[in-house]
Amino acid sequence: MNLLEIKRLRTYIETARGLVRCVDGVDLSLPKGETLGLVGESGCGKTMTARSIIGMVDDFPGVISGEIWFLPNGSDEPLNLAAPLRDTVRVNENSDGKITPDEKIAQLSKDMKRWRRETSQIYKRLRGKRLAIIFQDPLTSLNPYWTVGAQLGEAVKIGYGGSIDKKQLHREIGEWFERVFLPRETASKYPHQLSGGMCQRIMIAISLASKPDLIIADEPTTGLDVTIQSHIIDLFKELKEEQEITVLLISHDMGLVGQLADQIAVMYCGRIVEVAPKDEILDFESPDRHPYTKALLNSIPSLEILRKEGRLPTIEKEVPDPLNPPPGCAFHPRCLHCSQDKEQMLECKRQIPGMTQVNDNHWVRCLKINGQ
Amino acid sequence: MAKDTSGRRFRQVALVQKESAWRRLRALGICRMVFVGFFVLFYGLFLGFFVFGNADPHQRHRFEQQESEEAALSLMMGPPDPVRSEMMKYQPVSAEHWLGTDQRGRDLFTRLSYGAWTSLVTGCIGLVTFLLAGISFGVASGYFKGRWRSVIIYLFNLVNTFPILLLLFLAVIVIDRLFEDELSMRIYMLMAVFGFFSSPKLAELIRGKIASLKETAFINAAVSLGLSPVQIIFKHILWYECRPIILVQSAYMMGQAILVETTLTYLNFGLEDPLISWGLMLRTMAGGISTGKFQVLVVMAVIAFSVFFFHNLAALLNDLLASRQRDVD
Repeated sequence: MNLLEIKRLRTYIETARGLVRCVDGVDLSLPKGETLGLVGESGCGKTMTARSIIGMVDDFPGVISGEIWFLPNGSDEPLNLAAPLRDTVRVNENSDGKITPDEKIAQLSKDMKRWRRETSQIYKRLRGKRLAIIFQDPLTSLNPYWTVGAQLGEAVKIGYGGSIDKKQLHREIGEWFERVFLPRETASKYPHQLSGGMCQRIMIAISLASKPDLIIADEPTTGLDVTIQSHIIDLFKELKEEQEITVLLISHDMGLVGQLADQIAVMYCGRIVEVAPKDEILDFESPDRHPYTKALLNSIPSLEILRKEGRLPTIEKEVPDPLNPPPGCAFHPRCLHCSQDKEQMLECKRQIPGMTQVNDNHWVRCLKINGQ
Repeated sequence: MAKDTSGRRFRQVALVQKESAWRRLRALGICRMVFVGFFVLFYGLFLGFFVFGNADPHQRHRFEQQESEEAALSLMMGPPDPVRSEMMKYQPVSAEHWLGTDQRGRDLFTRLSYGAWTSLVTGCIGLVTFLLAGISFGVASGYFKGRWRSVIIYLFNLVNTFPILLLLFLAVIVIDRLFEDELSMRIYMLMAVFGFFSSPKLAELIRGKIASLKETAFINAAVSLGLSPVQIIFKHILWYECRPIILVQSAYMMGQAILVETTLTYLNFGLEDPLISWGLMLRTMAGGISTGKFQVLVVMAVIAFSVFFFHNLAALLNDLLASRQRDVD
C-alpha cells in the first residue's frame, strides 16, 4: 500500500469571472520513502494539489471530488482524507456529474460549513504530526515576532505530543539547527535577521522536526539564489538518506526535481500529463514522451543551446486562460504534433486523451501515443 | 595579523553593545525621562502618604477622637487625619497642613492622597472591564465569520452611537435599585459599565489586526503545523502582535476612567460624602470657586495632572513599542 494515493482529485474555485478548474482529476501515488516530483508551469495547479492534500483550500467550492488515501506510519488502515466530500457535495443530475466551465456553479452545491467541520476533524490529528508542508516563501512563512528557535520549538513539541521538558527541548532545537547546517546561536535570532536561505532551512527543519510521515515541499527553492538552492538540495538529499522521509516535491524547476525525485509527474492545466520514474522522464531520446514534457525539457537553459541557436528555447504561445481551457487535450494549441498536422489537431480538439501505459511505471496522456 | 584585527573588531562590537542600553534610555529623550520622574513623584508622594497613613479614615477618626487632640497635630504621629476637621476653613499652606485645609478645615494633602487611591482603584476597575470585554469581543469578532461577526460589529456600532455619559446616567438608576445600601458599590459598578461600553474601541483594533493577519503566510504555516485556531489567535496574534495596542489603549483608558470617575462624582452620580474622591472634593468646595480659593485650583490641577500623566504614558508606550517594532521589522 502506498503512503499517499490520490484518485480523481478535483479542486474548483469560483471566481467573479467564472469557474476555475485548478485541479481536474489528478491521480498520483507515492510509495513510502520515495520522492515524487510534481512539475509544471505556473498556474497549472501544483500548489492547489498540495493545498488540497493538506486540506487548506478554504474557497468555494474547493475540493469537490476524489479520494486522498493516506496511510499513517504504524497503521494498516489507510485513511481517506477527502471522505467528508461524500456527504457534503451534491452535483445536479442534469449535468451528468460533469461540470463544464461555462456552466454556473449552481450545478454544484457544497455544504461548506459541514465540510470544514468534518475536514478539520480529520486533519486535527494529522497536520504537523503526520503531514507537513513547506511553503513557497520562507521569509513570510515565519512569524516575525518570534525567535526562530521558539518557532522550531513549537514543531518539536508537536513531534513529542506536547510532553517534553525544557532541557530536552533546548537540546533538540540545537540539534535541529546543526542538522540544517546552521549554528546553534541562530535559535535566538528573529527571521528578519536571517537570509532567505537560512529561513528556508529553518522552515525545512520546522517541517521535519515534528517527524511527519509525508512532507509536501511547495517550491522550496523559489526566490533563493543558485548557491543556496544547491545547499537546500544537498540538505534534502542528506535528510532523505538519514531519515527515510517521503516527499512530494512541487516545483517548476526541472533541474531541482531531476536531482531529488525518484518519480516525476508532469502537470498541465490541472491534469497530470505524464508520470514516470525520473530517468525515463529525463531521457530525451525516448519516443514515448508527452510533447509538453519534451518542451519543458527543451527549455531547461543551457549554454550549449544558447550558442547553437542564439536564443534560449521556449514553449510556443502562452499558458491557456484557466477560465476557458482549450477543448480536448489542453495542450493542443501549443503542441508540436498539432502545429505540424492539421488533422491531428482536429482530433486532439475533439477528445480528452486518457492515460496510456507505456511501460511498468510510465503513463502518458497523449492521443499520438495512444494511436501507436 | 588576521587574529589581531578580528580580536579588535570583537572588542569594538562588545563596546557598542555595552553602550546600547544607555543609548536606548537616551533615545527616550530628556523630556520623556523628566515625565517619568514626575509621574513617579506625583503618585509616589500621594500613595506613600496614603499607605503610611491609616488605610481606613473612619476608624482612625473614631480612634483619635478618643485620644487627645494634641497627638494628631504632630507629624511624628503620622500624616494629618483626612476627616478630622479644625474650625478654621481654607487655612493657608503651613508646615502642619502642606496644602492648607478645605472648606471644613480638613487637611487638603491627606484628602488628595486618599482621593488618589480612590481614583486608581476605580480606574483599575474600569480598565479591567475594558480589557476583558475588549479582548474577548475583539477575538470573537476576528474569529467568527459571517453572521456572528456582523452581529458583533453591529453591536459595536450601536454602542458607539450613544453618548457614554448618557449611558452612565441610565446605569445609575439601575445600579441604585440593585445596591441601595452600599456606598462604594455605585462607583465601582459605574466604572465597570464605563469600561464595558468603551471596549468596542479596543475590540475594533484587535479585530482589524486579526483580520489582516489571518491570511498571511506565517499564519497559514501555523495552521499547517496543526495548531488550533484558538492557539493561533492567542499565541501568534494576540500576544505578539496586539501587545502594543493593548498596552497603549490601557494607559489611555486609565486616564479616561479617572476623568469619568471625577466627572460622575462631581455631578453627584458617584461617591458620597464619607468617602473621599477628587471629584467629591471639587463638588464640596464648589463654594470656594467663586471666592477664588487656591485649594480649588490645587484639586483641579491634581486631576488634570493625573489624566495628563496617563495619556502621556500612552504616548510614551506607543513610541517605545513602535521603535521596538521597527527593530523587529
